[in-house]
Amino acid sequence: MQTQQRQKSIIWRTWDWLDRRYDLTTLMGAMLHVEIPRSVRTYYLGGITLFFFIVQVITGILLAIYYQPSPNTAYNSILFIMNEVNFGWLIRSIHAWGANLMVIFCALHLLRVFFQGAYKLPREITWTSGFLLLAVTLGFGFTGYLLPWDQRAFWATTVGSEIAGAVPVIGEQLLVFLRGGPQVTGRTLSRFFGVHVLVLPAALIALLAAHLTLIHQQGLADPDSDIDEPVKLKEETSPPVEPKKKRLLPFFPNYVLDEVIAWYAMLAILVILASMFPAGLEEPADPLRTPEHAKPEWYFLFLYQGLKLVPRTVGVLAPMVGALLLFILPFIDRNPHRNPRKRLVGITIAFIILIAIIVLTIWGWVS
Amino acid sequence: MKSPIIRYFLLALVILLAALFAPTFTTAQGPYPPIPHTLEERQDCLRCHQTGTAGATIIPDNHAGIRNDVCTICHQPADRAAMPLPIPHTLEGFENCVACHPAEGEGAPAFIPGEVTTPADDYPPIPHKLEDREDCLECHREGDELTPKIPADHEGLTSEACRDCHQPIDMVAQPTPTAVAVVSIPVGPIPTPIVHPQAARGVNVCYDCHSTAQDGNLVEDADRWHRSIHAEREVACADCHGGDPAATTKEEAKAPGTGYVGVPARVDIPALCASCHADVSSMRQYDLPTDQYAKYQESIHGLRLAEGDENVATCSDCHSGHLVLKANDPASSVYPATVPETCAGCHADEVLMEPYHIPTNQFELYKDSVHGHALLDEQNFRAPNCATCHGTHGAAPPGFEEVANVCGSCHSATQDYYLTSVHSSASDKTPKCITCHGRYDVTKPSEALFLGDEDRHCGSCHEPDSRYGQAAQELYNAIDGAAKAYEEAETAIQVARNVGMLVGPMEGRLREANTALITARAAQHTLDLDLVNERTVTAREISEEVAVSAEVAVAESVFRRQAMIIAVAVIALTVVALYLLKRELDRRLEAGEAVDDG
Amino acid sequence: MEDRGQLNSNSDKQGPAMGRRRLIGYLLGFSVVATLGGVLTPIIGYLWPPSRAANSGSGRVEVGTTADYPVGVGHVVPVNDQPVIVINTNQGMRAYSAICTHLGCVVEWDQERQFILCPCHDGRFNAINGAIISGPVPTPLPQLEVTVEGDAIYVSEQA
Repeated sequence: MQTQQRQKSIIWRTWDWLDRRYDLTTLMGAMLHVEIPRSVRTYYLGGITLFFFIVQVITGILLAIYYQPSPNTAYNSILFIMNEVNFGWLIRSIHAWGANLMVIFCALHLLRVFFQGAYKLPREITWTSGFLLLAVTLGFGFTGYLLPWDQRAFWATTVGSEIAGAVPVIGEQLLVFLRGGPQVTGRTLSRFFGVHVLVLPAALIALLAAHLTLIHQQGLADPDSDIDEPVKLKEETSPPVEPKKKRLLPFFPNYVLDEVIAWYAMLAILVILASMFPAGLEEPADPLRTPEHAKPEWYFLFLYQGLKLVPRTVGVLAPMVGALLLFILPFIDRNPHRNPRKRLVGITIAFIILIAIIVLTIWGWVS
Repeated sequence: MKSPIIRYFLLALVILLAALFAPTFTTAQGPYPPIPHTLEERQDCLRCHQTGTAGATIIPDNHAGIRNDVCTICHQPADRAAMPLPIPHTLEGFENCVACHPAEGEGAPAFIPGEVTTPADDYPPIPHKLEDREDCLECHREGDELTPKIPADHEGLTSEACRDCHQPIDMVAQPTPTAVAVVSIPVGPIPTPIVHPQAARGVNVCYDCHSTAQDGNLVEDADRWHRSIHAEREVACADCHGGDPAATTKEEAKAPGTGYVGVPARVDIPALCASCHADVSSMRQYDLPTDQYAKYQESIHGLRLAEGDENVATCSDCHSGHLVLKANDPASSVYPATVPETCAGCHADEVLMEPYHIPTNQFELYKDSVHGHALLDEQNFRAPNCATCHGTHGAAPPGFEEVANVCGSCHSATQDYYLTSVHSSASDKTPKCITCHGRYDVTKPSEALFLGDEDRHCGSCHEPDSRYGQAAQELYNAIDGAAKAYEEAETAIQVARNVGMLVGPMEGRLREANTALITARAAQHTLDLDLVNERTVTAREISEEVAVSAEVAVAESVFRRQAMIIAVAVIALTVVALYLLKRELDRRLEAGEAVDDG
Repeated sequence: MEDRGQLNSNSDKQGPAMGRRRLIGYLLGFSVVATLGGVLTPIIGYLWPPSRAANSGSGRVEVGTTADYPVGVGHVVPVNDQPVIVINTNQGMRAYSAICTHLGCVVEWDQERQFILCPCHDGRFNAINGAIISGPVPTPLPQLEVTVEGDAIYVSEQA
């Protein structure tokens, strides 16, 4: 009946063919039936982070086809990609900018979730898995930065891993473990490459699957409600849903469409950045010659700059403690309200830390 | 009844006879003057007949362009009996006819035996190289600010005749004029060391006493000796001052018979040091040279000391009396980087230098020069100090044709170039290295030396519109043009780098242009424009090629941005389409809700 | 299902809505194709092996054959766009960066006199170890690794 009203295009006929065998309609219905409170302002930040991850996977696979992870050959393989491979400059530049944007939007997503109180009951595990996703993303950034094996990469990694060495008690061992030896060498490069290309992607996909499943099960949090109200579970499983007192938005196709628009906008930004500011390459890494301003990549600058201002142990322990607190935030936060106006203490602390991080980052950038 | 056959036969006979005898009619008494002299050693007709040398008839104008080998086709030697005497001498050594036969007018050469004009020795010698200067008259016919004009009595002479009288100066160095009258002192036998009682090894009572506070003013000297290389090598007080090193009282130590000298007289110091240091068998074990004394005696310092001037430097003034250290010891006063300061200790002292009228600003000038910066600031020991150019023990200022050799001991390539140029000569009128580059105040040379207003630029000798000024201008144009092309290529590469393109290959290629440019700058010392052009043309071509590649890279970057704009436009279109779809779906949702609500 | 039917019948009644739907349809179709094209073209182009036979970061570059380098002969060759001088000395193959350490000129091989010569200011380097013989050069030439395998001579890309 309804099928007769649709055009019998090849796509629908393929769908019907599969559906008759695998009952896809029910499966897709289960996956797409989630509904979203209209008052949620997610700004699609989490989805955008996912988009950038997809971009990184695609461009990363392409780069791995020509990249050679050994100190003798890494630099020249990058030169080869930039100069000889068709669109090589584009793929590499997109990968470099995608990394930066992924970190930025992951952080923005975290801030959005925090300010909307969406991490509170019943979404504690979603938050912790999300925090781990952030850690993995930063790990991607750290390990990937070394791979071109130019002066900037080499010395940023040296300086960055020195920070790890400042951790009390286990610092030395941690440093050696990270670097594959006391110094940054070819062993570091192969270690970082393996982690960047195999370990971290597997970890991220596993965490992402968990994160998305949890979201799917619970739907997005309604910022207007407090956690005192009973959690609303879905009562029906097939679209469309009877609108309740709150106005809901079907996940598919409405919310998905909104996400896709946001993704296209991000694609435009990525293309502009990659074309206007292509990824550069400094001189080949020279372990015997330290450049004047060796700094880690920008998302670690606040740690680096902070270490210059406070005693070493404080400068390492404070971020670690902060990260731990952030990790278990849902479990230590006793305030039942999601509304920011009712969470002044938490919001104020968050703002202070945020501004400090931004100031330290800028300071580290210009010095 | 004449038959035509006979008529033709007679005509042919007449023609034949005429042809046979024609030459006798034409040549014997013909319009061509016969050659009134034998042809032995006179094959070169034009040599005399072009200019009228030795009274030869000057060839008429209608002979212009005719060469020697065709003269005898028309002119035959006259009857031998009527000829004047053949040249009674070979021409070898007598190429200069004019030396004996004055070149006056026509007719028989006026040969006045015995009355020889200017002897060859008095002719001014040629003070410059002859390469590229075979045509003397090109410059000397009119002369200019540097070139004397030929005197009136040279009228009619060609360039080939000049070398018959004027010989080039022997370019090999002539004896160096020195500022001081050279008094050649025969270097005598090596002075004998001081004879003094020997002590057991390690016994040196002199030091034991003089190093304690009991003997105030000698404590420092004793301490200095103790730190010196002499102390390490067990050359002790008595070896220079005499005395008994084992004696325990002053009287015993300095008794007659101990060879005690005390403080040696300044004039005696060189001989004292030489008593060991000029002795090959003693110095062999240390691998030290032994020619210092001989050199010193020929140096300005040594010569003056021999005349009794005690104000000059002796061994102890430079090497220190007691604190003698190895020259490669950084604390030594003759450590290469310390030598300028040591020399300046006297030579910068106006009062001390006044009687000799020697300037005292050398060290100041040297400190700011490239050599000074290299040696004193960068501790680059390949740079020269005073002794490198003036000599150490045989110190004397180099003579002006020795300068190229002095500078050339390091700047060998430039010296080779310079020596092929016309600036290189034994005369002091042509520029040497120091003329353009400075002496103590050597600075980085630049193209401004070609033009510009600084001292020592080409224009300080050559008028700008003279042929030399023109040559300088051409050299400048060649080098400056290549340098500008190089800079443009560098700028283009920078632009390409700024838009994010990788420029490694271009920089590699531009390095070759830099090589050619630097080589051109060195080659300009030959003053040979063709040689310089070879290199500047290469430099310019490579620079232009690189600039083009850089522009291609920038164009590629522009193309990428244009492609980006298209991609962004397509994405924008997509976003618009999706947004329209979204509005459609929202509308349906509203409608659906309205239906549900209503 | 009813809703869908209602919705469809609603839109069927509206002509402009049909036109709009068609427009959206075309735009979306175009966008899908353009997106696919814009994404696949770089990817496939990227995967297509590049045409220029430049070295792909294998660590070394082939600079010639043993026939090009009899004993006592040297040549300056480009390795990764940097000039390198390769010489067959009587103590084996040697390779050095051909950038003179004085002012950056490209050095040459002096065949007659058997040393490395910089034409700019007559700097001379020893072919056996790159050390300075004479001239205004401050430091020796950096040495590069050179290997011979069969007929081919390879120079490593980094010192």
